[in-house]
Amino acid sequence: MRFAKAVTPPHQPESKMGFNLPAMRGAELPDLVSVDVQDLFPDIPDAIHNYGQDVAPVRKAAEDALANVDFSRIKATDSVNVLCSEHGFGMMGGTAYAEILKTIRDMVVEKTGATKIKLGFACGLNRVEALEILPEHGLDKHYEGQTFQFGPYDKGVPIDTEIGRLYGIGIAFKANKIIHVHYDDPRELHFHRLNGRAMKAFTMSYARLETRSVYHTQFPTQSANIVPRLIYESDFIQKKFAFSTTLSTSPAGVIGVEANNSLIELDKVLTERTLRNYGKLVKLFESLDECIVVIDGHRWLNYSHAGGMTSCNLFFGPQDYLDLDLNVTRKNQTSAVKAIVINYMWKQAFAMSEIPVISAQPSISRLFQRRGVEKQFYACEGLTEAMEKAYEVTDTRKVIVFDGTYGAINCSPELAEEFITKAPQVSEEVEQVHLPKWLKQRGLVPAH
Amino acid sequence: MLIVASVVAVEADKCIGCKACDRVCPTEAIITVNKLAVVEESACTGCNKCIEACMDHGAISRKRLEKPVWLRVDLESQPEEKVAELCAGARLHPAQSICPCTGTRAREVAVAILNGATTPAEVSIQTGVRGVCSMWCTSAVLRLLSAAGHSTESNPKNWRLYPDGVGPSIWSIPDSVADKYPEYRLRESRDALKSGDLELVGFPNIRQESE
Ligand code: SF4
Ligand code: SF4
Repeated sequence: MRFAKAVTPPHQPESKMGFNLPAMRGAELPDLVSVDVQDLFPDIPDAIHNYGQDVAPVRKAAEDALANVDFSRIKATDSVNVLCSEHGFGMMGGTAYAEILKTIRDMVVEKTGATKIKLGFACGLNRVEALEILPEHGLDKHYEGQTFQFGPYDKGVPIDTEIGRLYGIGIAFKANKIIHVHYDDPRELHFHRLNGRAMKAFTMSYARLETRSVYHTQFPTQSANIVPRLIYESDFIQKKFAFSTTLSTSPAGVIGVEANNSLIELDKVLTERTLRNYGKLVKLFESLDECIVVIDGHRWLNYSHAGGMTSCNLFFGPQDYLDLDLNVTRKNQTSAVKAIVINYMWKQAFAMSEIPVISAQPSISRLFQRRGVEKQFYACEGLTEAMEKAYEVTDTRKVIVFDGTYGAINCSPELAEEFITKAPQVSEEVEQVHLPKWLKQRGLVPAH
Repeated sequence: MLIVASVVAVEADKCIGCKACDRVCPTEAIITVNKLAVVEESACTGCNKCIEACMDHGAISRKRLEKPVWLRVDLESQPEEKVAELCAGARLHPAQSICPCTGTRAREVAVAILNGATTPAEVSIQTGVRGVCSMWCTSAVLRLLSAAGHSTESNPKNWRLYPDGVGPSIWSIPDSVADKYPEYRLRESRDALKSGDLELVGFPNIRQESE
């Protein structure tokens, strides 16, 4: 088979949080090719925006979505916190997410006359993020300097729910009204199971570390979203909640913007779209039995994108986390990932346990050597050397690069061939078996 | 287990004694005395929370240790049965990974407690747990301490920890809530947990340690 050349991934901005920028991107590896996600699954919806493209269609989509929202919950005298998360800026360079945030402010001012509007930035790792990301997108200026950032150990505010006391971040909710701005890539299906995912931010982004811990360790994954649901439905939040919006994507790129006064209604739309737009790629990834993952994104190891999919969709496979009947146990998983090569990421890394981890540069190696958690860790100097090591410790030439790309997957020809060969059957099985089941389990009517 | 390669140091002329660092440190390793932050290096896990808390003043920076310190317990120091019993009291399996950052297993925390740790800070200093993000491990640490009879109180003067915020769990869900929200399968999950068809694995670590 002949394949297209690897596509140029989003640029990696210099960051105080990251390691040294790599001399060579994953997409520049010799022989690397790309597979168009719509060649794999032609029903993946077209994008209105992808990295580096004009953002005007996103603005238009946000205005259209917000036109259907009731702004009367916000009075001119109200203070308003527009709450966003660092993760939204990790998708396609963050431009689309930033455009939604700008549109929201403009429309709140226009429709309500409110002027005390702040942008609250939930940090993923540390506060330096906001100092880099907000100016990069002109959000500090757009919000007239009224921005703040917060993390999981900032001063808490108690939120009493039907299942007991939980804690939000005080500063995030220190306003009369809040607007929750979400994003919808398929990250962490293994945690939220797409069963109330739009609410999860109330137990992560805007929550104290104790509440995050409750969500992740005191509930099984198919049930855990009861926690953010009850936070959302608490008197404390309902008094403040104005509306929510989400960036809506497919593996091809941004496909629109959704907005709703009810987060529960928004969640239904998001859930159905994600199942339909990403379900086939989720199952295709699940079908792989071996590969080398190259992390070359500019943020988190687990959330780097390849064809809109996040690397964690591979790490935590091969179970069907979309099937709510799946009970997760402590049994060994047989992840298809045989080695992880890290070319670039930020400074955070979860313990990767028994999968060999190969660092492509000394600044990354130091982190892993300090932690000392990985059972097999290899320090290399440069991506070429790291790939040689990866081939040596695995038996596979199937390589996938998570470099932030939407629309296509940069990978080795061996993996491209496997994707193309398997896609028709995966497509049929999802349409006939899995999608109807996933939808039914969530009370969403399957299409005819 | 956590290898601490660097701790933190305070630049006295930049410190204004505002206590922002003191209020977040999970191991009480940095405290303000006479309007100056002071670091107890042996208690510092290098988690950086204080550096962030002090970002406006920039008074705290990382300090590389000459020799890295290993925060780990000797698993042989306590009999397996006692460790298993304590873990069971906290509804944990001894081999369960409770911390994705440091790879700490429930049994390490149990050993630390059996060896005399009575507070979350003491557990952290012995094992390294809570030494990075604290977003997974906190409730497991509190459950293990509670199972050993050690209660943890909040301190209204700081926000290092809100122990009263870890009460809700699948085991304590009222039937009324389970009935009102069937979409979260709360009854089914409880039953599956009881029968062993389902386990709370916290972070579904890519491959769990063989047990
Ligand atoms: S936060 Fe900074 S300025 Fe405030 S007491 Fe701590 S070291 Fe001093
Ligand atoms: S343990 Fe963390 S918060 Fe405490 S002094 Fe050390 S780096 Fe700072």
